[in-house]
Amino acid sequence: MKFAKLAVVGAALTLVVGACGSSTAAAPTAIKIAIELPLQGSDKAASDPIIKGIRLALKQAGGAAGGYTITIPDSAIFDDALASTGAHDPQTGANNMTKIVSDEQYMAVIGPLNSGVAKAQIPISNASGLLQCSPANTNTDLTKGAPAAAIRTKPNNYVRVVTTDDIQGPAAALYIYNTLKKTSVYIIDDTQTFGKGVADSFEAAFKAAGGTVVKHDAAPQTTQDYVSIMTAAKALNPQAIYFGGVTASGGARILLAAAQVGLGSIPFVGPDGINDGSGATANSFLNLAGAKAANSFSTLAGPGTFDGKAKFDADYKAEYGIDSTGYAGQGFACAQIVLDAIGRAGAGKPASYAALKEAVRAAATDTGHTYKTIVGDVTFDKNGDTSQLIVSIYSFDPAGASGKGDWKFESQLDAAKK
Amino acid sequence: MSALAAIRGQRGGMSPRAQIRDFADQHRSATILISMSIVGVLMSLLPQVWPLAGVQNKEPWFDAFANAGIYVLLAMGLNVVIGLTGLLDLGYAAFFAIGSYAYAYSNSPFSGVDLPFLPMLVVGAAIAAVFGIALGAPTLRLRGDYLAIMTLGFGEIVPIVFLNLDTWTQGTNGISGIFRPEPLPLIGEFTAVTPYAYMVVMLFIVTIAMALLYRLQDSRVGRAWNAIREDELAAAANGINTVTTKLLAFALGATTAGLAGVFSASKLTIVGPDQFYFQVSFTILAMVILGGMGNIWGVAAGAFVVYLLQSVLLKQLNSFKEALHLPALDLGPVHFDINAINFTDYSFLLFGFALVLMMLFRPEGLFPSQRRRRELHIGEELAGPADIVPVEDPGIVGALGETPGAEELTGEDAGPGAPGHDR
Amino acid sequence: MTATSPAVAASNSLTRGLRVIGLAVGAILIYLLVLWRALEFASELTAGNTMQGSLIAALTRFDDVGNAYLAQALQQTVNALSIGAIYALIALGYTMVYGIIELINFAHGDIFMIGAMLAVVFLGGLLHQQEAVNNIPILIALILGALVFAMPIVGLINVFIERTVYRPLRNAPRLAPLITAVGVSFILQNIVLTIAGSGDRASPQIFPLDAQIPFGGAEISILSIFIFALSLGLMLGLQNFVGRSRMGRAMRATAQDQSAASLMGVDLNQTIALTFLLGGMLAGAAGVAWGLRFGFVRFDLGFNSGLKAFTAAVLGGIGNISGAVLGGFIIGFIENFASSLGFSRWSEFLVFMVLTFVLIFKPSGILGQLTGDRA
Repeated sequence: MKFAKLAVVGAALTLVVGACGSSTAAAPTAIKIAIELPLQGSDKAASDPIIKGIRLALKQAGGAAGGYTITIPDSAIFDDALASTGAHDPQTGANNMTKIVSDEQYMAVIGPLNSGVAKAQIPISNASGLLQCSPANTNTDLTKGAPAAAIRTKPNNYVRVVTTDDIQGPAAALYIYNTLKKTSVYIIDDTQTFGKGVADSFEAAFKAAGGTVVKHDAAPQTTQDYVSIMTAAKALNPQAIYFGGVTASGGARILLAAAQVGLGSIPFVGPDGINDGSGATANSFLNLAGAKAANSFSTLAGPGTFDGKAKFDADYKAEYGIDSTGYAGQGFACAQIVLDAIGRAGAGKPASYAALKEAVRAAATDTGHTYKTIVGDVTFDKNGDTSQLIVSIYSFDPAGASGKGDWKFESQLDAAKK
Repeated sequence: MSALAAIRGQRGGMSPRAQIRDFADQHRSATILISMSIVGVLMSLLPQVWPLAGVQNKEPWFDAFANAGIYVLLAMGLNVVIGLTGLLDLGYAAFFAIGSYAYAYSNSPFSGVDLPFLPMLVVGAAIAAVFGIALGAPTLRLRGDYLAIMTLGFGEIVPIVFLNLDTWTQGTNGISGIFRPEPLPLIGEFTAVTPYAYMVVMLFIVTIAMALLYRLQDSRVGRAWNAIREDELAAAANGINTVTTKLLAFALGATTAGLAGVFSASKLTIVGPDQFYFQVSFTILAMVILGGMGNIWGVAAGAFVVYLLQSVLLKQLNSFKEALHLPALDLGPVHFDINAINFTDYSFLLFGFALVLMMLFRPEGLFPSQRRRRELHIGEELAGPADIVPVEDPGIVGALGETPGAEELTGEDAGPGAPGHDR
Repeated sequence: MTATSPAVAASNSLTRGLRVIGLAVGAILIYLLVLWRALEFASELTAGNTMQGSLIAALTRFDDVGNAYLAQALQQTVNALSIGAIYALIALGYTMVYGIIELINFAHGDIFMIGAMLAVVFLGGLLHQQEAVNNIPILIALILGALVFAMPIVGLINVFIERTVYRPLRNAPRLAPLITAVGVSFILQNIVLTIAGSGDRASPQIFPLDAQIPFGGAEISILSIFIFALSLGLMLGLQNFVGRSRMGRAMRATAQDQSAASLMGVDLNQTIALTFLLGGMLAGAAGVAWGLRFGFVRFDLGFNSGLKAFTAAVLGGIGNISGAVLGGFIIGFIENFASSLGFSRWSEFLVFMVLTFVLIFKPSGILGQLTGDRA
């Protein structure tokens, strides 16, 4: 088959030639920032405020930094949720990150929301040296220890403005034990990276404080019948329930089932995964739980009250007409950090997009630099963790959001001050 | 007689198209090689020019092609099971999962092992084949509907097992940080930002798989598959060992899925149970049906087109719609905002409609094999209620139709409750 | 064929009915006992005892701690009855359709989901009734209203699907309607997804959840009993209809032999449409019950529950109404058993294992060969 062989060889050569790519070596002028968040189902309730916070920061900065025009067009917002599950999907997140890193105009990406997605994305963004700032990832394995080292092949490119679950979990544990004075707790997690991580650190801290954990159950997102599970939990007579997970993986369903079997009057505590908006926000925890959230508490891995909060709330409300919730402030802070890094990187006038990208990354992860963000002064350590170790606790306020119910700030715990 | 001379009109008087078809029929493998080479050249060059380059850069295109290739492999494999042998396998994603996890166990920090990629392709496919036989064995006695449900059950069980055994599989979080393949000479490195190498490797895999499947299809085994699909009882009566033939179909389908799984794991670098639920099996099923059951090229083309439609076109529709800046429609109680529609959300809805419409009007698919088209339209010859029992005439296809109870899948036509009836 | 006198026939059905009730009560008591001892066993294991020691303790230990498990087992049994009843209602739809046209209606689970969504629309959207209602007459009226709203609509949707999609393919090779059914399932799911979004939707739980009967240390949820009773009533109604009425006879005849039935003057299209209507109505009722009990609905509710209900239908003997009911309760009990002992993650796996074993060893199902009629 001479002809065939000839064709194959010819094709192979073409393939090799085709592989040769070209990239522009022009000096950068207009650059973009990507946003990577889940935008469907219950996760959307948590992501929307973050996007609004980011856009507010960009607007207040005039859409420029370091001499470059910076935009976030609609095509720069990536959704890592799947319609078919109504929740975040690590694989989609990885696909999105691949697209982002292949476009040289992106100087940074803000996101994702969920730690499981970050785990799939960091290898990709790290290999390409793109700055990634997360406003909401709290799982410890993303920055600490061997798991963190395993997903980085090049110098660190990942920073986050919230603190980690090894502080968020214990904060909730101490609140339940010391403030609510409950000594036995039933834990249920959603088996995902974030949910299991925070539930495990909660359990360790609660036991260390002197409390008892009657049972630590795990129910994946696909579980439908929680009533039987909660019936079994009721028989163990816990004084409080701790849920590790997000609303999308079953937070509200568990609360409903608990209420049904008679556990509705004991405190139901969850991490930032259920602090995703008021009762008026579609698909948020409070919206789905309704009045049954009367005894619910949640934590946020960031400060609930900070010096600029009043002004931030006012600006936010003026811009969008609604109150800021959840991690809106953290989204704002991430944008501030990215803009600050771009400003410092641009000072050196890099000659190409690629050089600018590397300069931005280096500037952002510089451990010597202090950022003045809306949530306070922040420095990053060599792993990308913030110096601000504050966890704030929220309780349910039935009068909030015009009677639909909202989270009310209770107190905050600063682990740095211990 | 050299192939070149054959093409050059030494067949006396045939139109060029017929000559090419003749050549293709007689020299299948060569045709595949040539065609895939052409496809490869096109795939390398087209993304660098308009109009494809206007849609997105060439790297995402290569990435999309490589991903589409995964589905092409899967569709070709499922085609063997459904299209050739007539076994409705609704749990095909299970074998995909097994291939993926096999590679994950051999190449990740989680398992601490790092085995070379190309041998793992073969090993992963082999492991999947073993499971294909294992999961196919209990279904041998089952009829079409029950086979479907049982395979659906298996398709659900496999991800559930991977999900729940979290000490061994890390459960929902999956195994991440999977090592990419080692760089190959001439082709380049396998990284996230340079998917070109992946695309080339996928081309090779698809070419080899296609050539193999075509040879099998035209062999004794392939004819045995066809016979089982058309009338299992008659096939058995003619001396075909239905057990081994069906198991071979399952094994082969699983092999292809295993190949696709290994490749997919090495490309995504993360495997998790949520990549293998029923939606995936359904998508592949839709591709096979749309492409044309029984026709390898048709199925491959169908899978390729459907995947690109879903992953690229629908997203472009979004951008296109945004660029148009259409106003929202507000007619009193009816508020229709076209800007709020995200077309990618609708892909499964479109799949569903496509499947139903296909089955109603063109069940043989977009690129059918002639044989299947004749088979599938036999039912339309019947008019009125199913109580007319026409004469069976194997010679005149489609003229008189078949007995209402006769199925394509088996020769049995009684229900399961009838006494003394073996499944 | 000799006709039995009405009195004899009545007493026959009475004894049969009594026998069925007796068997059912016996089965429930056995489950209660087994679950109680299993809970004891599980707690012994977690307390650190060996397998053997736990087994012995499970069989011999009946002190006060054990009685707490009895209370829990009682509550879980009641749970199982309600979820089993819901599965049974869905399974009936599968089995009737299969019996009559030998098609596995993959979309049936999604019909159930639509029923649940309609209940949300009726109670939450139209009546704005989110909270529990304590006034009994109003409560009954609301539930009846929801049923009357949801059941016919769901039934008609089912009939519509049959008319447009399945009827043209009635004579096509078996692969075609099967694949089409899968397609319809996805269409339904995605239409609801488009309208209702991908997150959970809160379903008004108007039946007061704290209405409970204390019994032997346990709190028996009246809601579960209500759902059980409602489902039982519907099933008996169906049994009655299929067994005694003219249309029911037509259904049974068509299920037995389509050609003969049509030769005897049965209008096939009408009978099949009626089957779909009834199956859909039952699924709609199951949907209302689900909403009342679990408080949330999702667009993909139907897939999982549908698969389990189909397993139930196959388990009991597909084509057999009593079989579907039996299968539904068995699957409900298996699921509940897994949840009670803390391995709810494996309940689907268990259900599919059951399906596999049934299909391999007794494909006709438990009641498949015992009863001659398949309706």
